[in-house]
Amino acid sequence: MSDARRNAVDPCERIGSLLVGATPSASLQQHLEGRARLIAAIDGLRKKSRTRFALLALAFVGAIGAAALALAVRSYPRAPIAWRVESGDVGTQGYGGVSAAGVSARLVFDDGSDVTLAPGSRGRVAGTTPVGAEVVLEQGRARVRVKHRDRTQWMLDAGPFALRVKGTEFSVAWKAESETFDVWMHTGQVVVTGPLLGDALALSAEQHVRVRLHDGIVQIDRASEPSSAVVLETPDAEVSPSTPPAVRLEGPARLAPSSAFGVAPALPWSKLVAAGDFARVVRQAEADPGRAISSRPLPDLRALGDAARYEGNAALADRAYLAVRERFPSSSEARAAAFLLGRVAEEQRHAGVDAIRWYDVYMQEAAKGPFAGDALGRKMSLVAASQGREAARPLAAAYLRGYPSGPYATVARDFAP
Amino acid sequence: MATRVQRALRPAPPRDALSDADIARLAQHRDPRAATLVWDRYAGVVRGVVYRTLGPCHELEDLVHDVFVGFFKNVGTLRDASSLRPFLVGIALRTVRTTLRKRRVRHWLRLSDDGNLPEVPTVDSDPRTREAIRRLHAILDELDHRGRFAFVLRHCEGYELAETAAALRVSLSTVKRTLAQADAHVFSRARKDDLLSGWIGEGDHE
Repeated sequence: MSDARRNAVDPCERIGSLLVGATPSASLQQHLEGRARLIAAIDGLRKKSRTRFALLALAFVGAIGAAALALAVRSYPRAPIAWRVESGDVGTQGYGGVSAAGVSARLVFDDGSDVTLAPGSRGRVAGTTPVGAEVVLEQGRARVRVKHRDRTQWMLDAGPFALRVKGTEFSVAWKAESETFDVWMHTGQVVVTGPLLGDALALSAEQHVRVRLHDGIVQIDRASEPSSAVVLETPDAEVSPSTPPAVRLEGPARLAPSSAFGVAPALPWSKLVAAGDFARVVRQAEADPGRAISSRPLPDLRALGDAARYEGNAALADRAYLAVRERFPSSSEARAAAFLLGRVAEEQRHAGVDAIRWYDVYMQEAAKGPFAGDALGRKMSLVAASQGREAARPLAAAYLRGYPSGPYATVARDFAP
Repeated sequence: MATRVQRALRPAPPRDALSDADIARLAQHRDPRAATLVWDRYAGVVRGVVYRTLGPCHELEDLVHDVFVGFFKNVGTLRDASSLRPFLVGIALRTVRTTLRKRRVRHWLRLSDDGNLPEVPTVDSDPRTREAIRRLHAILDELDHRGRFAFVLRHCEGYELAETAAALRVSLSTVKRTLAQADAHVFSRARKDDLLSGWIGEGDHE
């Protein structure tokens, strides 16, 4: 437990801090498993929902609906894409392991796509549909060429990462031992999801991304793929004593952090705040507040404002929220920042006039926003406290018109019975 | 300067452009990306709320999963797409409430061992802190659901009073009353506890 938590003024706040500090955060494995489990559950829900809808539709339109359905079914590609092994050794059920000394294994799909597993790699075809396939790269490197067609849905999984592909050519590598993930784009676009990448990362031709989970580093550059002579690192057991040092990845891995294409810091503040680690966010920001305010992306700035507010650092919260408004003026966060600036002014700086001004700004910018009721309610309370109940009456009436069952309705009825 | 160059060359991940409202709308339109987006953004929040309201339990991951499945079943009823976070927290609280009820029934039917909280690892390896957490949850168990949730939302999640009232679907005055009772109870019990009293700094509660 940190001293800051122990030093919280209110005993109940200290108890809350005790609980927060004791909350175990999920491991990366738990997070990924949870996500995979959710995705599977949602797929199940979707299928159920589709079935229910189809039954209703059939009952409603009768024979005409059935005929339309038959037509739709006829126009839909019926058979899943077939695939075969053109070279290499891939066993039944689509599982393939290519020895380090062997030749590449090439899987050819009927839709014109192909996947080549490099020596020392393991992978499998998890399944195919009429419009695509899911290939899992468990270890090693693969070159993927997906032929673009209407409604193509190709997916490639590599460790905890997933790539969504429409039509493109790229190489992907996953080293489980060092938890390093690489994608070298050749043509087209892919969307990558996985740890440290946020919701999704779109990559286009000639880009390369490397994610090192151990170090928490994401690196994007235009490094070219190592030549075929530079094969992937393989498990020690599979490496013969004579295996040349070329088994190690070279090239992009050697890029210094100060490379022109940069290294992005991991652990976005929004995630730290979501995990309740407010102090850490504030600590990191205070190491170089100017840079944080001027260069952090929108979610991190908003998170910094929230973290500083929760930590009682009004000055830093103000700076962060003001930066949100200045740098991202058209975002919804910019509007929310106005309300939150009002909260900081009211609760932490006890500056009622400033707070009312910010609440007015918020109501003007987001009359139907999520904090509109709160802004009006807070303004009403502040006006009542500073100018008397009579002055608050019109605000109370306005509140009751807009939010008759809102959290301030009881107070408002007291002012405007 | 170097940083600016790096940022200019680094393509901004689309996530930066996705607000809560965007994600909620994707979920409402059954977009396959929604599960990943909402999980990655809010699994930590939901896990925290469930853990802190329910206490250490072996079913934590299952409950977090249930909350998100509940979200996708009910996301069609979310009228204000930007209220994704409070909507999820509301589902989490309902899930916890159901679990607490089941737990009480199980205890009443004597299906649980002894009603004591199981020994589940916390972040702290210090046995005194672990014991303090166990005793604290035992005190929270003495509160009704509303008091327990109000206490956690206010003092752990940092909710404002109005936000707490909205999450519990009660008026501001009700939540104030509930919170005052919960605070007084927790403080009173903790003050008498030899371990917890050291934590709260006895005597400075007004």
